[in-house]
Amino acid sequence: MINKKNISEIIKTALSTGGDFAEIFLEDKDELRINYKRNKVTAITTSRIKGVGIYILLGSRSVYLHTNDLSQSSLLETAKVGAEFLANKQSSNKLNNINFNCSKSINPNPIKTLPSLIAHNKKIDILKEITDYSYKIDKRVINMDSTYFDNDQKIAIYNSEGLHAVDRRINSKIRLGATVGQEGSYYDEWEDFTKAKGFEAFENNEEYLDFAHSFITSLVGNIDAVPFESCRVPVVFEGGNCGTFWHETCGHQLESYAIARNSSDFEGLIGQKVASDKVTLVDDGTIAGLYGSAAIDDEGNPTKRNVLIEKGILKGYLVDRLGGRLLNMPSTSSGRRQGYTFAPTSRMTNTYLQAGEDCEDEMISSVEKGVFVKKLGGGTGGREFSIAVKEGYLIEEGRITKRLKGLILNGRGIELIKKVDRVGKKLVTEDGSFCGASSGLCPVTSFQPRMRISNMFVGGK
Amino acid sequence: MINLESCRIALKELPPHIKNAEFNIEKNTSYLVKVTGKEVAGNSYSDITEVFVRASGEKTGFAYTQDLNENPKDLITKAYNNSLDIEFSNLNILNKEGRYEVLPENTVNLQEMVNYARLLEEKLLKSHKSIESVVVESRTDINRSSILNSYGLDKRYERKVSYLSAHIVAKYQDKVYNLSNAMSGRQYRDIDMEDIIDQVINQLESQFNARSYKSGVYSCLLDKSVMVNIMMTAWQLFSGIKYSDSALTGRLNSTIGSAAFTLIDSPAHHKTGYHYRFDCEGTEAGENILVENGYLKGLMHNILTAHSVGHKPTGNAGRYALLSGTIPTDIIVVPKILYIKPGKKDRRDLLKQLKDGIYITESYDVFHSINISSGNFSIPCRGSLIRNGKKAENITEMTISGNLIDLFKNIKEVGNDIYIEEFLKKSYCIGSPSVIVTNLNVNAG
Repeated sequence: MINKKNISEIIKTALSTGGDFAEIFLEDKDELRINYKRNKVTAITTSRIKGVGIYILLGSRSVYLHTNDLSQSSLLETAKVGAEFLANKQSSNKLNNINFNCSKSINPNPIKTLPSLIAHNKKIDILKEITDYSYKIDKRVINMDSTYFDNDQKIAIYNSEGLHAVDRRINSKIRLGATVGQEGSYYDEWEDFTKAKGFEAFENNEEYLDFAHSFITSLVGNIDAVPFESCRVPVVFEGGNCGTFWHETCGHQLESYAIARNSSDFEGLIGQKVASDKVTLVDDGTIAGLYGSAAIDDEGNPTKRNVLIEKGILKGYLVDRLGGRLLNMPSTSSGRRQGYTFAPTSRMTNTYLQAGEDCEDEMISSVEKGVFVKKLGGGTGGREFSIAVKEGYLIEEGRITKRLKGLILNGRGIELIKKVDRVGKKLVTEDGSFCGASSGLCPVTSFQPRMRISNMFVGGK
Repeated sequence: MINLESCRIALKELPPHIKNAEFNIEKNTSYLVKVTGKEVAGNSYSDITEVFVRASGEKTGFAYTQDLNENPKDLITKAYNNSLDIEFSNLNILNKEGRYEVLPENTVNLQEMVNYARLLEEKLLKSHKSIESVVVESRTDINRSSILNSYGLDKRYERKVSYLSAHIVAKYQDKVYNLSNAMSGRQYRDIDMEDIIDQVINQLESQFNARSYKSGVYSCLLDKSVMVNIMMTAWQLFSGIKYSDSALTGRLNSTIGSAAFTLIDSPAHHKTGYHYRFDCEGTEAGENILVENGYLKGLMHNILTAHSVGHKPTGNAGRYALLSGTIPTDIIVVPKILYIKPGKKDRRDLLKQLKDGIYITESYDVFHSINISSGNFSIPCRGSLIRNGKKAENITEMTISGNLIDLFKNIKEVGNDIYIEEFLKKSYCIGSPSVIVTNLNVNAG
């Protein structure tokens, strides 16, 4: 057990060669995974992740160290390694003992039933039910591979400014993997039913069976889908999961990590017009029930709502502590990390396009030829983004017609968000997924109302 | 407290209801130095010990911990308890013998790391007038792998990898460009900085003044980085686990590529610092020619997948193959250093041979744009139009599409410029030279 006195000693050692800030991040996390393949339970695994990260700053210079040897001697030795990295600065700090003040922030995702209190067989029953149901949805389902996950992450953060903050994040998930096909045409895909909840995530089976139905029917739709000739057309993005568009086209570029590295088209544009008037983009880690929410960010600050773009005007960036030092900006509670093996950096939480005033039906009916994207897959961000389309359709003369296959979107985000010409009235959330970046895999959601880009490149056949 | 000795004792004192058990202990130590403007801008240090356990009665269960205060006997019990609800009898065949221990004196010289980072930064800044700033990271990883089981298998091996990566910001005609390149070696002196610089300049110059182009079927030169990007996902076709659900199903011992296409999985290669002695089940890591002159000769196997088809394991048991928010404890199949065998021609000769076509210099997000079951791909990319063997103009907003098997069959020439990249999770490497491919669909707006 690491007590406050020991933590104070570690921080003092970390700062002994001139660092001006030190932080200790403790993580203790339990995970359970149950694999169900070809109608049998094939593996059950329990995992324990436990360790400490030590973060030292000196101006804009950073040092991050982590270890899972939690003996006090090892932690002091690790802190000493960090101090030696900074030793060339020829200065030293003499700190007194630090008085830590524990801040209490309420996690917006309260838990009713701890997953660890539920026996494996109840979790297996859910896997069997959703898998059996999935096979029955369509006879072209060839193989199902279902996995149950739950995890319980406890974190505590202490820093040299006296901060002491704690959080407990619990979530539950079923991952459905399926292979579908006929006559030599096969497709496989996976998708997650993810909830920032305990075992109560599964108390209403209609919810997860609806998820399975939507996943399988969408995947099977590929079999009869037709190829699409690449071209530039208006593209309508459905409400909900298509918020990934915002995550990849500009979310990553609005992180202070990208701004400070000069790898963002949004650098230096605060206060300027960067998108169409219809675009108000928000990142909010406080929304109850969403996968990207938490009590605090991973630097101990209570999560908050950040308006990034308001009516097309760039209002701010997502800023962590180090990014704030590099850009001379305050933290926006956006310092996030997968766990103790990663230094925190600026990351998104729940990112969404605010609802507008346009009619959802009209934005399709007014398109002579275009593409309707119902569901997006994963992608990558940066100045140029790329996102795979999981489910897309042709729009002909104002109506959604054929299912299309092999669609991929890519382009330059800052150019495309100027072409948003419709934003619908109904904001639709999504379950969420993980986002991979320099501080590991973090839970996020990205959502929106139905929205239209007046003209963009759609890659296909 | 978990250490090798306490694990050995736990394995010797297995309770009668546990038939066998195995520990795989991975200790990873990593140092990183970040340099920009000749100054050290950041450092990191990591020291993590991971303990993977499997235990079998009638079935097999798994457990994993980073909590070094756990008792190895309790961990075996935890893994065994996880086996009780298993419905699939997975045999759990373990390697039954073998001792190996090579623990070289692997030291880390921080000043050397800083010096190499500064040198690469300096060279890059001088290499092209549009390059405005460079951040170089030098990283030294030391991995000590230990496998021990209740049949007496007891192996240890230590690997050191030195790694340089460069992140460039360039400005050309008021537009800012970013790109990165990286390379590893056993020692920093083994890393060919000129290769890094050549690749950076090649990709950078291919981005300037790019315009869109027309769709069509073209002969293309796929840059080594593009082929590596494709094979970073496509390797799964050659896995003993994925084979039965993949685009290669039923094609073992048949021709799946052109005569120019030879694919090798190897425990070592001079273009990377990674090297392997045995896999996570303790099986020796040898060289395996998977495809020879287009003919699919074999697959990569762990013990179980090899047993299921009557083959020998190939030393490809591993765990970290995909990005996942959870710890991957199941033993699956992963490559070691999987690469396309290089030919003799350099890039200039390849462009001359291509004569008229498209040189694809960069591709994006292949993980989401290749379907392993069907083999179909649709990959966003950019490149240069080639006329009479020379770069004519740069083009962007394109995708290349088709089927992986057709791509392998249409490989007409393979270059000598092999490039090897580590997978993000540091568990394996993928390599390829640049290749000429005919009849490739290029789709543009």
